[in-house]
Amino acid sequence: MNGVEQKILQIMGARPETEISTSELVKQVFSSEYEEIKKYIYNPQKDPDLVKLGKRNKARMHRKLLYHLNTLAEEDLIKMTRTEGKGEKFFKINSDKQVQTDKDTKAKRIIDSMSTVKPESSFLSGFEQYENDKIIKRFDPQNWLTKINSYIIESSYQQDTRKLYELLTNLYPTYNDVIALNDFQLIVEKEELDLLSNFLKKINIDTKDYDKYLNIIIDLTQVKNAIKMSDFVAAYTDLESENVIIIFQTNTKTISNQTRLISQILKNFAEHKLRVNIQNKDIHKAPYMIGRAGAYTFNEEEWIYYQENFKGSTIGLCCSNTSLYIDVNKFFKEKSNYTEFRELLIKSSKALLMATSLQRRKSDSIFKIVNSLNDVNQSKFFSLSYNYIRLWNYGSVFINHTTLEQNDEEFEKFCSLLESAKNELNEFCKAEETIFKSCGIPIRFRVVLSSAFERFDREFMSPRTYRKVTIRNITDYHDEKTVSEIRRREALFNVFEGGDRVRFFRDRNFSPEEAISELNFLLNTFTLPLITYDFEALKGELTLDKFL
Amino acid sequence: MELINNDAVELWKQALHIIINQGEEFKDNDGRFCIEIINLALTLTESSPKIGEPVDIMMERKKWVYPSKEELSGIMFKEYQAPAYDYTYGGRIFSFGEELDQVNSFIIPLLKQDPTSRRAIVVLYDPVEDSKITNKNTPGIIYIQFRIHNNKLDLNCHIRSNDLFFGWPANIYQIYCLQKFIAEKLHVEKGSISTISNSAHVFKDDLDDIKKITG
Repeated sequence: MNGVEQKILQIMGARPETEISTSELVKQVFSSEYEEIKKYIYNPQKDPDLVKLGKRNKARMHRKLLYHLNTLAEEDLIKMTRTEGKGEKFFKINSDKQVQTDKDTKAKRIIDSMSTVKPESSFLSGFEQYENDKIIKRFDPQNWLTKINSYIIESSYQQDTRKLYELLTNLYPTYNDVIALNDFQLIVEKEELDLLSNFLKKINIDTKDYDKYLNIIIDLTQVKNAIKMSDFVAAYTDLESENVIIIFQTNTKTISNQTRLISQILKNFAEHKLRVNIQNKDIHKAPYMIGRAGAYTFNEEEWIYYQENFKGSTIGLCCSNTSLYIDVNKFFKEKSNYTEFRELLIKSSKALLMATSLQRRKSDSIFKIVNSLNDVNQSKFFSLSYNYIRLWNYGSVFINHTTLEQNDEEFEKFCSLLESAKNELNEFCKAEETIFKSCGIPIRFRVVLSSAFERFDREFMSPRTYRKVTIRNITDYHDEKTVSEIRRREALFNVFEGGDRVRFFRDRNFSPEEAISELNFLLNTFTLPLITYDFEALKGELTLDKFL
Repeated sequence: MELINNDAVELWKQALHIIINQGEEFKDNDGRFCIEIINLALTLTESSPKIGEPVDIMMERKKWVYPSKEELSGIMFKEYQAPAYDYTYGGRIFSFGEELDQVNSFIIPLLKQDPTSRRAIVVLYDPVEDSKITNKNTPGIIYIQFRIHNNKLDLNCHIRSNDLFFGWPANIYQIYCLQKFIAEKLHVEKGSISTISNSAHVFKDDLDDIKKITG
């Protein structure tokens, strides 16, 4: 068992009948670190920077503690008894000693089995060497096998935000990146605004505490009450949440029909310097999610299959089981060899297959919360899921490192490499499904490529090396370099079956009319399924950092 | 056609050799080219842990990931429907239709009471679930019959469609595990194991890999 968790149990076990707050636990579990932090917060000079740093570290410690508390709660070793004030949580040890012993053993067994899988999978897949060279990293290695990366929840099957909130409270321990509430416009339209605002506030606190992402998917093509939606968006932007992210689904027709609502949305986001995510349903109808690791989505045909065949029989649909990322820049610095890169992708897939094999075998216990919610349709929930190989800093492969200009020829070569690698991966997955099926193990196994976000693992990843492009107004989209940049991303969208996102940085204030015409232009001209307008530059924190 | 051997690896190689040399070519419903022999019976006269050697051979190959023995036997004893699988052999054997434990409620008591019985049959095919035109994920093993002969538990298994290269090593190991489990409960020795594969086939795409094993 993890050292922090042992310490928590020791502290709580000494006072089994007492509720202990997270603040108290932080002081005891991280006693020496806490003393250090106090020096910053209560520094004699009252230096605001030191106070800020101390508070930031304290918040980080709280999040770390909550993560472990959450793990213990998931195993029924402890339980949350109540929340107080601004959402401070209180915990108590599970006092039934018999149950406690059994659960403790069980928890140990799970943790023990997790530690045995790593050498096995590394040895067999040849993946280990790249992990040691820091070219590959698993997403959330501690929970690589025990938590799902991402899934969709159908909002429409929850009666109201109260039920939805109860459901979410159970679900936080089950995933390690993002869950998305699909068709949330249905909830917005039937619920009172104050209840919606309250829901937003609560999920904002929870997602921060758990340090996880939650997406709200709003299909603008289905919005009937634009004023209500506009009010909801205003309530959301007021929160300036980092972990709760809205994704607006739209299409060119709706952009023309809903100009007032969309202008208002853009205005709200710009005022709060928040990113606004827009999915073009003309290009891709299956929902997109945005997490820490990157973007997630479903294959169009499979999404239609889900909608036509079993939507409603499960709480939603699992999107990603496990993920890892490859630092393409680091790889090609050491081995400028396309063949080896292809081999690396297959080795990574083997590692993912072995990981999912272990997940499958233990799925009864690992996914028990989700399983219980899906009742008799448990297997359907996982029936269309993927495993992600995310690529980081791939732009460095086709850039001239002196001039920072992108080389079209090199890009074409890289794109062909990814295209052929994607086909090889699909063949590999199909072959493995056949092998397992012929052995009486009918499994789903798919690996998709996608891009990685920097926040996947800031400490581990090589610094971004590609050129940034400025977007000031619509005329910039006619600039040859900008257009060819966007065209490159379009080409990559075809390769990144797991989804991708293009980010446009705006550095100037703009009128809503400008924004609408810009969106219209983008949606009509380019085949980009997901774009993000980033108004961060308006904060004045960036200088020339306007990029795609 | 029937092949008999006391060594699982040798029996497997013989079967592969015969399919490649005497089988008929056909295109399956997924458009893949197969070579097939109809109603191929393979009998292993001695049931021993060496029965897992074909699985070891498959696992040693670096080209693919083959399920581990732990997963293979696990699927045979998974008593209830697990969320990550469409069906499990264990689910069908130990909780058919989510209620009937065919081994503990039927096979073991029956053979204890009447060791000469020819009714000790475990059925894995569930017409309610599987007999749907669109359902492609149905069990390969249809039924397993157990008989006590000379105080040994013989096992006979019918497989509707059997990839002899990828599937048979796993299948023979899985039914061996079940045979061992039941033999121990009945306090009898393990006897022979036979598989009857209605479509005993290999895929043409795998021929190079098969030849590396058959030599």
